Amino acid sequence: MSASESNEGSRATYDFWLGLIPQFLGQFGGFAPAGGPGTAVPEDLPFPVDQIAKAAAMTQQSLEGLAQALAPALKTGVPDMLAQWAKASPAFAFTRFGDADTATPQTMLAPWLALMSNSTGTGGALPQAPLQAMSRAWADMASRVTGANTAQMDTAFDRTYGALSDGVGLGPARKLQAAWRDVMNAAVAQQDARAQYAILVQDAFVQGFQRLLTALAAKADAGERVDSVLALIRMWAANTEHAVHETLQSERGLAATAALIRSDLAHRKKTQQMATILADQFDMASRRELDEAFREIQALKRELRASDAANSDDAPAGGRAPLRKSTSAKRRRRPDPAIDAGRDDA
Amino acid sequence: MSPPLDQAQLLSRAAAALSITAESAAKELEAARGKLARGLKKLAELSEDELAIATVPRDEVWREDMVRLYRCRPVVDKPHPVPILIAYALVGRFQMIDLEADRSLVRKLLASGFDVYFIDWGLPGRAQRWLGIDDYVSGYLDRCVDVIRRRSGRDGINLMGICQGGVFSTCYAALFPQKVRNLALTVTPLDFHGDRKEPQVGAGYMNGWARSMTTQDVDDFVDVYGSAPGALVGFAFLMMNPVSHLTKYSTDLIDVLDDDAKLLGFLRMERWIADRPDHPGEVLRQWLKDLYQENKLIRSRLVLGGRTVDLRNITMPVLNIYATGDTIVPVSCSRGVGNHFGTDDYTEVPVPGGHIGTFVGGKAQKILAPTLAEWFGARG
Repeated sequence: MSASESNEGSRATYDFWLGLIPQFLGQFGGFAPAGGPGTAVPEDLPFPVDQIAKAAAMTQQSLEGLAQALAPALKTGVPDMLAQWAKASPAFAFTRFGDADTATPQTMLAPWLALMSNSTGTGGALPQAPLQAMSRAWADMASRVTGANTAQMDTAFDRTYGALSDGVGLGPARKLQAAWRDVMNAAVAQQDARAQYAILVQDAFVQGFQRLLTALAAKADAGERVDSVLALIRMWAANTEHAVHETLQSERGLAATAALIRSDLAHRKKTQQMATILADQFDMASRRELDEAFREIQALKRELRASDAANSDDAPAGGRAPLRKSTSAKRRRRPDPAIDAGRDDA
Repeated sequence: MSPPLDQAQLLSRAAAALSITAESAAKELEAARGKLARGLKKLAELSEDELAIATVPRDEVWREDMVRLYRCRPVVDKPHPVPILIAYALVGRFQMIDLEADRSLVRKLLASGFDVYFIDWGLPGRAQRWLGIDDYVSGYLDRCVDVIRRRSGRDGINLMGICQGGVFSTCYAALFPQKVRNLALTVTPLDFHGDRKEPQVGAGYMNGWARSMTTQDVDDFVDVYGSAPGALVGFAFLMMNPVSHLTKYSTDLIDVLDDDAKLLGFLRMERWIADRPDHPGEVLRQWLKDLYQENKLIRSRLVLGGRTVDLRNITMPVLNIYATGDTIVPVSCSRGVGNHFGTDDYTEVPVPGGHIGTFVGGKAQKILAPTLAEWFGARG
């Protein structure tokens, strides 16, 4: 793997965290629009300095927006600032402040979910949505028209025309269509799992805000004061982090995480099946077939190592590794790589 | 006991703790923006040399596939006769042991007069997906040990493992005890179910995640991915503290960018974090099923290459260093395992800080290398 390929994955991770900065700082100012352009990001910086520069510029811009948003709220007093903040806090708004912008949690979680999708190689969550919507709409329409689900329709269609299709060479197309349907079903299940996970995270953020208020109230009771916006943000972070840990480490959190992983795997597996059909149709080696070649190479290497060990004086504790039956115990000892010729004074 | 406050009362009490005014907020945020602006200029002036990590002078002495064995150039005329081999984990790169010249475990050991080797496991590609733990332990690691034994003329060498590399080293010492003179483990999970006895909020995510998956899930994961993509592994680590990462790349940057030393340390650490190798699938399968799910290592039930890893074979001295604030490998997974080894010479040493802080943290730096040097030195 080249360095640039390695960076590609890391860049996606930075994109995720950096994409959250406006939402993260925006929530403290009731999601006012970000401030002016701020300082320009220097060009041609090495990786990952370029990412940190981008993060700094985004933070600078978001802080300007935050300052603009806080000024009018603070003019009327701290309670207004907190109320504004509470409105922006996920779901807290539903219980206490009915007029909150309900799009906030989704906005904040969207990049999170998108990265989970990207990092597992299944493509972005957002671009998939229209496809899933189309798939679902298609299924719904079919059910309404025929009173049957798509699977029943396909089965009936296949019984009637399947052999004929095979006869005229359309077998692979039928397989591909079935595989595509499986992919779409898996994608719908994947979105459901993501939604469940998102609800869980929202809950944790709500608890985090509640904890912050409780911690501030305790400070007030102790006669302590917080006189810095940044210190307040740090307090929020500490309290929310704790709530996130408690939620995600709970039985419910672990189950939701496992379901999320499972649904991503199912989707990826179905996509791979589709790719295998295509590879077969175009007479290309599939990745699985290449993997089998790698497996055989690795098995031969193990055999060689076991043979070396059999000829060595340094027998491992618990006996020697078993050789495959086809292996000659008298195989020639592999010479050390040339580079091993170096001496201590190298 | 006073009755609980309703939300309105709570909000009011909370507001009483805040003495932020429109003027103070504007002034504070303006100052923060100024620091960020100055920091951006600094970033533009940094050179590649300033950002370089793992710069200790060294020579490659052996290689096979993507694995390299390096010998650090000794800094004393007559180094300690028994060399030290350091084995890092597969989930990160070896550079952590030499991140910066003044935060370098390797350099401290060299300065203490030791002859230090380390393994770079490299960047496994798709072809390496079938590598299992035994391929690393009885294959690459054993070859590295043999190379050092030949070069030094010693029957047994000092072996030091870090985290996953500590598990590999433990397995190696149990399978090839005659080749290991002393075994040092740092932030190494040994009892993978230790977290069940002492659950901790914010620690042991990996334990929980692994156990919440079925064995079929693990098989599906490995079958579908082949090797776990490095970015995915890295993301899993970051999601253990998601909110901290929000502040890390935003509000925390304000102070980091304002301090030259902190900034360089931060950027070098970022460079290390961003360089996450893919994880061979079969190692992952065994790691999750045999260790996280079935806890076979500490029960001496782990089988590698047809041989059982019996910890009672580890009769050489063992030093076990764990981090008191480790959330990746909870303390309960590392500590209190001496009775499982076959040695009478077992030492546990706690160091302050977290998993990675053990190697780069200010306080831990003062304990880690001196402890290792003294311990290895005293045992020949």
